[in-house]
Amino acid sequence: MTEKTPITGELVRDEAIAWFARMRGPDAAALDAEFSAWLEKGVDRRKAYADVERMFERTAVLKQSRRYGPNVRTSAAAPPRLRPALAFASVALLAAGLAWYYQASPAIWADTWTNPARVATRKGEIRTVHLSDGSSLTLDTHSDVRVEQDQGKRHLRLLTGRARITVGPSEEPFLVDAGSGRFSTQGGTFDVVVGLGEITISSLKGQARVGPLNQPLTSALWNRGRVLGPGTTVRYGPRSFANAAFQQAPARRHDRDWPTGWATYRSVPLGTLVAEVNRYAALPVVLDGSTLGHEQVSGRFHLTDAEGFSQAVADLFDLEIRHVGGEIHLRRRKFIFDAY
Amino acid sequence: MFDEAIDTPCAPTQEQGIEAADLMRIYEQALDRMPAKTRRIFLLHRVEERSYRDIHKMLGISTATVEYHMMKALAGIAEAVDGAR
Repeated sequence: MTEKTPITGELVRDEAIAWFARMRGPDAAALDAEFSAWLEKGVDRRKAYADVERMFERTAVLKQSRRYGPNVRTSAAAPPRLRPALAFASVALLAAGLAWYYQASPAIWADTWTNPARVATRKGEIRTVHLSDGSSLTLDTHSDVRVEQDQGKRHLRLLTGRARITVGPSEEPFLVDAGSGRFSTQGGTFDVVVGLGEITISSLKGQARVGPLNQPLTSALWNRGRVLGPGTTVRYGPRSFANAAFQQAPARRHDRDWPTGWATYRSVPLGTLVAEVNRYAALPVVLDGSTLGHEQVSGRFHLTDAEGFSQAVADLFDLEIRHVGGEIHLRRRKFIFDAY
Repeated sequence: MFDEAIDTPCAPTQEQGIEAADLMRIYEQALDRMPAKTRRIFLLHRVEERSYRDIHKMLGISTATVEYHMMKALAGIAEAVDGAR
């Protein structure tokens, strides 16, 4: 085995590691411009940073470690050695743990929201934040959410991107604003997407009242308002809630699984899948040739691992992988036949 | 709704089971070699998902020190991965 973590040079890697460690700290927002400037210095830096991100993501497997997992005290003492009698058990546990890891796979990272003001994700990042009331919020790549100052009430606003919000049951309503609309719930799991021209709110579990942002919750309009139940989606415009359309359609599996960074497709054009991978990729995947994008693929894909994804697709269609100008190019192999 | 059966006519799933078993060994060995404080801080952040601020409060060290140990831990893991190739 080898972990495919090509390093572009000791110095660049050390810089990438330093930035990665820095950007996980409390000063990340203040450092964002400086960090972006560093990334823009070259493809080698972006690649090195992506490699460090991937390496860190894969260390999630340590949560299944007998020696270092979450139920083991993180003692400052020397690491305990496995006794022989435990060896078999640890192998079994490892196998079970790995099976879990690659099924449930990487919640890219999680945090406790100790300073609730605003949380944003950069390209390629999926981040879960636990709120003090027991609720949790997972932000997809390039997303931004803000806590609304609302007399201590549970109240968020998704400014852009996609969020999954799991609200712990409480009599106190949890409010989420998105574009021209708002929903109010006392428990459940909801996906909210703020796109350029459309907002969607979907209930995966639980019920929410949905209505226009510019009307108070006690207004007649809200009292007549629609209830979003499990498997229901509402779509409306960013500036007007007037034409909100409700649709009963259970979320497709690849839409449900996005917080894990993985997606399962029954049959999808390769071009569509690549576009989805490129939403996360530091190095975009490019399909060379006009027909490749029309190939149909099915299966479970790690969308946040462009390198691994490229390798899996290359194996499937016998493609050639080339790294060109900060992009991962996939193309059909050219066969050369001997002339007789 | 979550029990929907999925047909997979062909499945180019990115299976990496053997890689994962090796990764666990490499990461554990890298942690074995780290100074105790670096290892503890890395595990608090990565495995127990504590924020830098939480660790700063728990251990009475600055967040800059947490960042320093995270950097050292990541460099150690990167070296271990390199060495395994």
